[in-house]
Amino acid sequence: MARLLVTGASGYIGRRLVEMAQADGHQVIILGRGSPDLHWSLGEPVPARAFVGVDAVIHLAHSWAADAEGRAGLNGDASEALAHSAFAAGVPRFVFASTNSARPEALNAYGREKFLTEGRLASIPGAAGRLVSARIGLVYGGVPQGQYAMMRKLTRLMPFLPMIGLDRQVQPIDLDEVCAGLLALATRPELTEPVYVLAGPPMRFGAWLKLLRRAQTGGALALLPLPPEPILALSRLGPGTIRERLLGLAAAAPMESTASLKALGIVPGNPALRLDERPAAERRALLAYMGAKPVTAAMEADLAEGMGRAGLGPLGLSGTLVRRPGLLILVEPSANRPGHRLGMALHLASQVVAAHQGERPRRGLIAAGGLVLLDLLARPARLLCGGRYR
Amino acid sequence: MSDAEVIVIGSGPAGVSAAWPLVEAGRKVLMLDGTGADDPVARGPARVLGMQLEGLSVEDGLSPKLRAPEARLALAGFLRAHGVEADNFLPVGSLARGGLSRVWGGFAAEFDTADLKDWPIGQSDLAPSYRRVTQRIGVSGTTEDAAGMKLGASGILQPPLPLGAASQILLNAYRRGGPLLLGQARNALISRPLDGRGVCDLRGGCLWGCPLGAIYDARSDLARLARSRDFHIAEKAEVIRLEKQEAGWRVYAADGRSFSAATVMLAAGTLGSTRLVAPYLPVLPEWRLLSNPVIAAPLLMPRALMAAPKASHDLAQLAFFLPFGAAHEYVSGAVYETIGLPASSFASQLPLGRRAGEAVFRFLSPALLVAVNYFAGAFSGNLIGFERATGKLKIKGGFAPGFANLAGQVSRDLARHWRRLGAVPLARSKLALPGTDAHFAGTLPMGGAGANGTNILGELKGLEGLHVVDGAVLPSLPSKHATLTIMANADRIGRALGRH
Repeated sequence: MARLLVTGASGYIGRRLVEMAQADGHQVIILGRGSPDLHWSLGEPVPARAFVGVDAVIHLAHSWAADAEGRAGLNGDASEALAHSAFAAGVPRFVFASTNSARPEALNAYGREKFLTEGRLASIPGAAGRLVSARIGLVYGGVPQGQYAMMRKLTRLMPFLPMIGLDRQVQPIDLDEVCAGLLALATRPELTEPVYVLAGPPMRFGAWLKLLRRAQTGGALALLPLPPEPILALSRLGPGTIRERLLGLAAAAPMESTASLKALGIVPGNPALRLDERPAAERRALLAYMGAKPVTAAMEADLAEGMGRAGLGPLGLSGTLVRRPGLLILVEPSANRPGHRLGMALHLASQVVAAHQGERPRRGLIAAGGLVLLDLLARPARLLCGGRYR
Repeated sequence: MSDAEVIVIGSGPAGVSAAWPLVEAGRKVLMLDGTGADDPVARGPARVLGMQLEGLSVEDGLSPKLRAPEARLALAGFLRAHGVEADNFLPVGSLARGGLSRVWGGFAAEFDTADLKDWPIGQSDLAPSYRRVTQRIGVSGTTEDAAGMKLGASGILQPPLPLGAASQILLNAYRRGGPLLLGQARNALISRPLDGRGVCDLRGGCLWGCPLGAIYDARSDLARLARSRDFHIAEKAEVIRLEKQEAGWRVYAADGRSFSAATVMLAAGTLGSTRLVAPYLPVLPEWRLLSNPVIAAPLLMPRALMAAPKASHDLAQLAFFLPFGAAHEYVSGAVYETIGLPASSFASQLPLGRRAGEAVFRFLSPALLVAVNYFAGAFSGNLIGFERATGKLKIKGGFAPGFANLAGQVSRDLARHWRRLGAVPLARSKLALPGTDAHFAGTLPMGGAGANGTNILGELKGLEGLHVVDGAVLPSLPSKHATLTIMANADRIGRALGRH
């Protein structure tokens, strides 16, 4: 098992990377501002003892605020200093997190800077065969953070979205796949190419946004293409990060990644399936209908397991039922009817709720009678639409 | 070289009951346990759903007791290990530590002289053992009411625990004098401290296992036995074969280990013991397997709907006896409260949506009782066979000819008595699948004349030193719960061997 020195461990990729590395049995030393291991911030020298016994450095840290703080070049300088010390200390592998927008002519400073830094690192004595740059695509999945969190939020809240760069090609890739790739680069010495591209197959940015909305809400997304120039001009007024992201989108271009992914043994998953939150939303609706207050993640996980074991895939409940679980009364079958998929799912949900909340308190005559009356009134509707989830 | 003076196969109620008197008599005892020590009762949702969610399922066919994770754990592995093929029969057995005591509802009844009429021993032979076992496991109840004497008076009882509201109303309505005998149930559930076990505090949720240890199971005996230097336990010793040797027996476990001793006490449970002994029997085509035919009838006590709820336990509340037909025939049973049952099982019976069905249950459950009627084993018609080539037991379940009609008549008669006491029988109940009761007995009857008959120490002819001490040797199965008697009989045989 390897000893890994990681920077940027508190970021979107870093958190998951550390989890996965530790789960794989690697020893992780975190280099960073909040680190319990080695306190460090970008630009500071790293003491040589930090590298003792280290098999690889994974350098994820990046300061978005450097330019705004008038410290242009901080990222490049700091990366170069870190790599220099690592190579001087004899660390056999240095993994640099770059981007699939790393190009000399990139519109965004991020892409240009990453490209320049790759070159600076490569020219450090001893870098050959030890330095690898991972050009990472549009990362999704895991605990939403940063750009991914913003895109999720936008597409969840807005059924209608004006946006630039809709025809540009992005390369979504699952967070876990990125981390697996970075760990492979850190721990497999036979991977000696200077650059690996960790990015999924290209898709249009507009299609990606629609996919994000469908996965979260099941609904469609209307997109209004905006001409990039006036928006970019306007964005000069806002914070630098927004402008950077817009510039990144306006010039996004795909980068060939199949050879890299093959070398790393990564088969990119289908984001439409990976991100689909409807099965979970459906389970929460079933639990809410059976009286869960509140519906907890543990209940949802138990129900998912139970439904899986009972051979029940997602029921495909309509969006209306998922949003208003009370309406399930209109499609719910009689509980004594065997083999009905919705019926079985509700049976499991009831057991999960009872186990987590305790058997619910006694019902009064009026409450019980009211529910029975509602149940009888719902019968005609069940006859009409009850077959849908059989 | 032998591993002990006596090997006891099985860590269930019969095994520990046979081991106690031997250890007390200074014998070196080795107990073979099919599994190993397991975790204490789980907490939180896992208590109901199971550590691996084994309690979460869409099946409703089994009794709620057998569906609970604790029971599933206890029963898991038995069928796989023992290769039982069952037709119209639910084969229940356990390899787990504590054996079937873990699914025992705790109902503790003594057999009386009439119950023992086909036995080669009498009530006075069992009485001292009833006394010892009752003392050891802790039984609460009373001999003072109408059911008390029928349940026996050999053992010293702990004071009874309070009844639930509906059971109390039903019992208050009862007057002595008629054929129906009704009184408090007698349970292996303690109301006074005993050997470090906690006293029942009426917290409910008994179905999921008692974190206080108030309900007896054989594991509490094992913990005490383990303190003796003369007692050892071999874990994960799943016995697959017995071999008679010049002096004594060699016992083979599935993992290749073997153990030898002059004397072997076989307490693997009726099905398990029968299978281990079967290769030694002359070829019998099929022989009888006794079980108690069982009917569960829901009873509504309308008056309890208005009453204030009372905390109680979920084990049997009341015991009843009703004679029928010829002189000594009777049906007996236990009345349970339903508050501790999962609403979901009940709702699955109703032609309503699940949410409404559960609401109905939650409204009715304080007034809803279940009377479980047991009929004598003579009315069962199960046949058990052994296939030499494969080593499999084959069981065909059934009832004695004409029993379905008789059971119907008796149930209707019983329903009339319930109505007189103000309870409303809710549904015409059907006989449960044979084997659901898990009261299996009589495959190797003491005093039996056939090739499968054993002597009063549970030995088969020509197989000296191998003593069957579990339900298999019961010559008959009255309508009463047999567990306490199985334990007392194992104690009796253990005492006899301890004296030699």
